[in-house]
Amino acid sequence: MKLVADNLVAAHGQTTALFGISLDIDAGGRTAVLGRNGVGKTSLMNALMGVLPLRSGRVEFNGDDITKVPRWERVKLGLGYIPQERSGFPQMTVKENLAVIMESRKGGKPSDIDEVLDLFPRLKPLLKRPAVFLSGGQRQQLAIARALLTKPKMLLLDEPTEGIQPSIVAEIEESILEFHARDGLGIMVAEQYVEMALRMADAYVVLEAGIVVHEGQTADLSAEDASKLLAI
Amino acid sequence: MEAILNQLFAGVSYGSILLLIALGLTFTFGQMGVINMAHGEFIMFGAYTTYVLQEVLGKDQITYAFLLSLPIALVVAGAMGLLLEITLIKRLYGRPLDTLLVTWGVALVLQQLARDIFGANNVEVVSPSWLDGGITIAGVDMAYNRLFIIGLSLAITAAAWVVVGKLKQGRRMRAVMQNRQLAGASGINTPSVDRRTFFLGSGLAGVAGVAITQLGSVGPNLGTNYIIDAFLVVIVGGLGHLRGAVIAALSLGILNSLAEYWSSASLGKVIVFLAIVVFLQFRPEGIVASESRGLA
Amino acid sequence: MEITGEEYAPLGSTEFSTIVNKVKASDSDAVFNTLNGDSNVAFFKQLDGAGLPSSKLPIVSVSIAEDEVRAIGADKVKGQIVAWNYYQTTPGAANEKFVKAYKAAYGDDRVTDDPIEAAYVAVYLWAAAVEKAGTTDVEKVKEASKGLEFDAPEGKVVVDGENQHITKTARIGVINEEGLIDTVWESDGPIKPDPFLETYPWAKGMKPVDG
Repeated sequence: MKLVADNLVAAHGQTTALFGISLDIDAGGRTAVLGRNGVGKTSLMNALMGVLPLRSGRVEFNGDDITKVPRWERVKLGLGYIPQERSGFPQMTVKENLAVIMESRKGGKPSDIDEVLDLFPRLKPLLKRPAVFLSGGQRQQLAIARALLTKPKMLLLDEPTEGIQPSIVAEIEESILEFHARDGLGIMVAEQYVEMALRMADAYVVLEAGIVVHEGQTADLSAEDASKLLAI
Repeated sequence: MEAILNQLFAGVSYGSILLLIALGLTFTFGQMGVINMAHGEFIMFGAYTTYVLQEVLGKDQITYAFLLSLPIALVVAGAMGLLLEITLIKRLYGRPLDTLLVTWGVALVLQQLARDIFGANNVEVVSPSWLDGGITIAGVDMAYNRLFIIGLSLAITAAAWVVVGKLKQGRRMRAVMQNRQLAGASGINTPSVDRRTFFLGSGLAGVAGVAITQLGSVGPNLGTNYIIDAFLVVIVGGLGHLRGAVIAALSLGILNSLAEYWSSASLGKVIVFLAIVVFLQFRPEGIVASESRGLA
Repeated sequence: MEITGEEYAPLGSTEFSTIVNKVKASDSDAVFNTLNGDSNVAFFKQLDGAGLPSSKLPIVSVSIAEDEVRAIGADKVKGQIVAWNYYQTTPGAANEKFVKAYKAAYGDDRVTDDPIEAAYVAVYLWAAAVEKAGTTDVEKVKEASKGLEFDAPEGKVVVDGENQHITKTARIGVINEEGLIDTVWESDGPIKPDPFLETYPWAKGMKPVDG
């Protein structure tokens, strides 16, 4: 199972964000996307998910050409997405945030919600609270819970730990890795926090100004080297 | 005192009409941000639905014709809304000015269509006999048709509240309106939700049209008589909030009837508009405020 | 006669509960109504809802003709009083022919009324003036129209030479159950037009506004 991007070019209005990115990723593995702020990590995630329209290039997932497939159909094919923006469905309660996703999946059942809640017990007492009143960490846990409810084969995470207190970061990391180990969930995580990215991933790509400048296996890369790469 | 009570009833009655005509707009304008100038014409076609049913079923079946026209108008106006969404509005999301102009053009076309089909003059819709007359309680004269409209307005609002607040479809609707990108990237077919929301909002306009046949004229200009009031209620209430729309409609109705009572019908309208302008100066987000996909 | 109240509604207004309440509270014996178009339909429907039929509150309206009655519903306005120059029931051979032709053209359920008749007459008068003038030039047609006579459905009309209005018979009517209007009073023959209020004592001292 592979996620392949071929020469992706995309722009926000007049500003080009991706200048021809090509990737060939093991969709069942763990990949880190590294790079400083503004190099195109979020744009890449959005492009892979179909949120950011492409100017050119093509995307392939699990052997299917999904370049023209709308985002909700990509979800059905097994791509899960956790955007950096975490407001979720702000005026809806935690329970509703989860229910609406569960109901949108063919074969979704209420017990799916209980399952993801077991992964994030902190959310259990908050079920009736509107998402807008959650803390940053709670919102991120809710975001992951929502994504897991789509039963993804591969999860795209955009800066999942940004601005979140360390104890919760560890919990989030743990639950994602647990899913990878148990269900073979593929992970692609965009991170500025290099240590965590390297802990979570087997492979890495480094972005710089909208193109891929490095890629390889995290085993071959020390944190020190990685920091140097990012400083280019 | 009796006079004040009578005015309060008139205000509640007027408020319930405002609520009925604005309810659909809280979906299409409030939640989706579409400035649909043809909303009034959906109200008009709802009213004509009553007329057509009355002609088809015959004047001895007025009660059936009237009650049957409630669900049928919902479908007729809803289908018109759906058609409008699929053909035009879908291409204009995020372009409020273009939407305004295009839907205004559609409104003119629909008015002319009504003129071509039903004639330029008003048509007569006969009221069911059980809506004639009224009762007097504590000196307050309550016409049955007004009581019926108050009841209908409450029932439809409650139904809309259940749909939006409790049902799957409503949850999906709210999810799309609150975070369109996330909803799409979480497996929700957002264009399909848009179509359903637009169907519902337009359909509710049709139901309002049926109710209006009991109090006003049924003619090609019917929509233009109500469209401004409908937008006012949604804006004062806070975009996309049922609760806000209810409070706004009743407040505007009561304010209007009291202002009219103490001044005159024309001056009363001026007072209401001034009050709205002042209110929006201090609270531009409306009575009930929250994040929503607004106009800008 | 005492005037117990005077109310103005915005053009196109369809909400009359307050005005109806005021009329009711004033205990007036009659109402003089100058509402136009859609508003009349709403006004009478809402009066009816408030339990004020013509037997309790006679209303004189100047903009309700047979076609408006159709939209309001005859049962809601029967017995009410209107003022026009022509009704479908106006006697005379010219009108019989006109009503027959109108129904043949637009359907048996349709009715003629004053504005319809006025438009009909206007076209014939203009045509006669053009024939007389031999041209469609405006000034010449105006000149030719002076004193033109026409046997209209409402009776004989004459174009006034000074102002191009026509002499008309005033008729007060009462709406009947079928939605038609019965004449209950009419002037002694056509009245000379007075658009500038020259013969009205109360208008003395008023001057026309110069462009």
